[in-house]
Amino acid sequence: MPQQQNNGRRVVFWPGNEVIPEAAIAAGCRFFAGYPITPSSEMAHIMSRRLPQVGGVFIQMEDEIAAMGALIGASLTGEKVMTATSGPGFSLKQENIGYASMIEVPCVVVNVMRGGPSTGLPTALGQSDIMQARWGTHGDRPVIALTPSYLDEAYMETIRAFNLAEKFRMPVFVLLDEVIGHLSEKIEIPDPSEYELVERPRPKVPPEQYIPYDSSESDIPPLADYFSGYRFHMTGLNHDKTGFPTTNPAICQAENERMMRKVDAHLSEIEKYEEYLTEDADVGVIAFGSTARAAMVAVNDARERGIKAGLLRPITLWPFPEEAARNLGKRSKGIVVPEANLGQLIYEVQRVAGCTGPVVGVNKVGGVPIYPGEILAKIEELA
Amino acid sequence: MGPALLSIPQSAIRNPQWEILICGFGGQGVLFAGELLGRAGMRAGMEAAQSASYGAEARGSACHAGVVLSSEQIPYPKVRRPDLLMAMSQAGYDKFVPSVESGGTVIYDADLVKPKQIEGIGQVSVGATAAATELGRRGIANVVMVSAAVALTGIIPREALRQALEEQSPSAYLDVNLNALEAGWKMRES
Repeated sequence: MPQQQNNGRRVVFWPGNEVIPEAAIAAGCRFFAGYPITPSSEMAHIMSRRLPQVGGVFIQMEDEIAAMGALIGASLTGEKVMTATSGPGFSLKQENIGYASMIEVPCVVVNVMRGGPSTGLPTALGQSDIMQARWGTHGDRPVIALTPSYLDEAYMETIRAFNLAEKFRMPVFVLLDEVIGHLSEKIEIPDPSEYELVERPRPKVPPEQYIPYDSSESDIPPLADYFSGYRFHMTGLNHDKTGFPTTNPAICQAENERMMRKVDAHLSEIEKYEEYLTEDADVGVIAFGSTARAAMVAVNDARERGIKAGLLRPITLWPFPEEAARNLGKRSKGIVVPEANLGQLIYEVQRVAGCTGPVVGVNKVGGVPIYPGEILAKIEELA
Repeated sequence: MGPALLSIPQSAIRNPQWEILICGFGGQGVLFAGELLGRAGMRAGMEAAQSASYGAEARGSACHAGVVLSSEQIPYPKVRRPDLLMAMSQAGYDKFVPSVESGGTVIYDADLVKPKQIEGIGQVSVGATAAATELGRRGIANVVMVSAAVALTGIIPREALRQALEEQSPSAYLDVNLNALEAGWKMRES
């Protein structure tokens, strides 16, 4: 069938779980290892069909742990790589996510969140992995997690996830929830001329001079592709610039701090959020993913009733847009934090917002979405 | 990149839009019907969002699909108070009829649903299953239903629905689906 075009853009009607794989391929992803799990399974199905068409590789592994391991290995050969999972699989991947963070390997991990703990609610909405994304693996490491609310945004944020993973040599999470994963919307696919693709820093020196963690020029050391003539060692142990283990306290301290700087020193480039009617807001709402869409309606309904409400929608959940939250907190009488869990992001809001009034949650874990009316009721309480 | 500060005008949010719910049981093509309606809306130049019940559903169990059509960006993509309910099962009718917006419309399959008397909403009977059976394939009652509903309400031009069906239909079923579209559209006159 001829595809509809708009300003040269292809117009499609896709579910979120198709948008992400297609955006990944547009971003240059050529490897997917996974273990299908609802509500993310369609991504594995689509990648198994689409990747061979573009010269890529799809592997279904024996479990989520192995899938994450395969992802790291494939990335080390120089490919852009992705996996998709949900809560239980995300839990299993955590050790290897820590390993990818430690050896500084670019990869994108999509998590279509569902209810938990454990296998929880396999086919229902949850936003249960907010803190797991931040703290799920042991030790301190930089974290980037993107939470799109709209499907056109999901397309561009997926491309951005690959760019950030490559640029900063680290895992990047795309956190969807079941509602966004299974929602179909009209999307105009951006032309490749509309965005940039980023490649990881690669060595400019010949193999015999290559030092794998040489950060003398940048906090992000160049990464050579395996099988390209560069021979180097990688380990999850604390290591020095040669890539071999060290227990030297000064080096361990300096290297861990360098890894954290990859995000901390580039916040303005990474952080992204949207503010809606916040300038004069008496009551603030902070919401992400599909819940943010209900919150937007609640803000409008509150305004119709004469309550000045405003919405801050983090698009990067990690790093959390602290300054925007702080500004909203200073201006408003109170903040509502609706989330499909029993209170996770609210801790971060309480920590940073400095709000003189109450910070209250709207929390649901029964697998059904939070409705605009439920958020509106809390806004009215605080007004 | 960097922080985005966007503002969406109030008028974009408070815009008239259609909320449509299709209910039935697994195997009737309820989700196909939802996708068809969303896609047709999009082909007609509207914003469209489609969601569906997503559970451990199997053939014969209850399922539904929701579609929101609007001339502006759709903030909340789920159906709350349908303006139009298409009922292809008694259980679905009973469950969702109380949520229909005052002044809304219910279109139900004549063979599958016994309607109740309800004030303030319009109810129209459509012989979708009968028409599909006559065309030799019961499984296309979903397309008959969507086509009849679109024709009766005038939400979407016929050409957009046809285009959407051509895109979405597996090629082996395209002819029979187009016949279903014809049959449904004719019900406007009956």
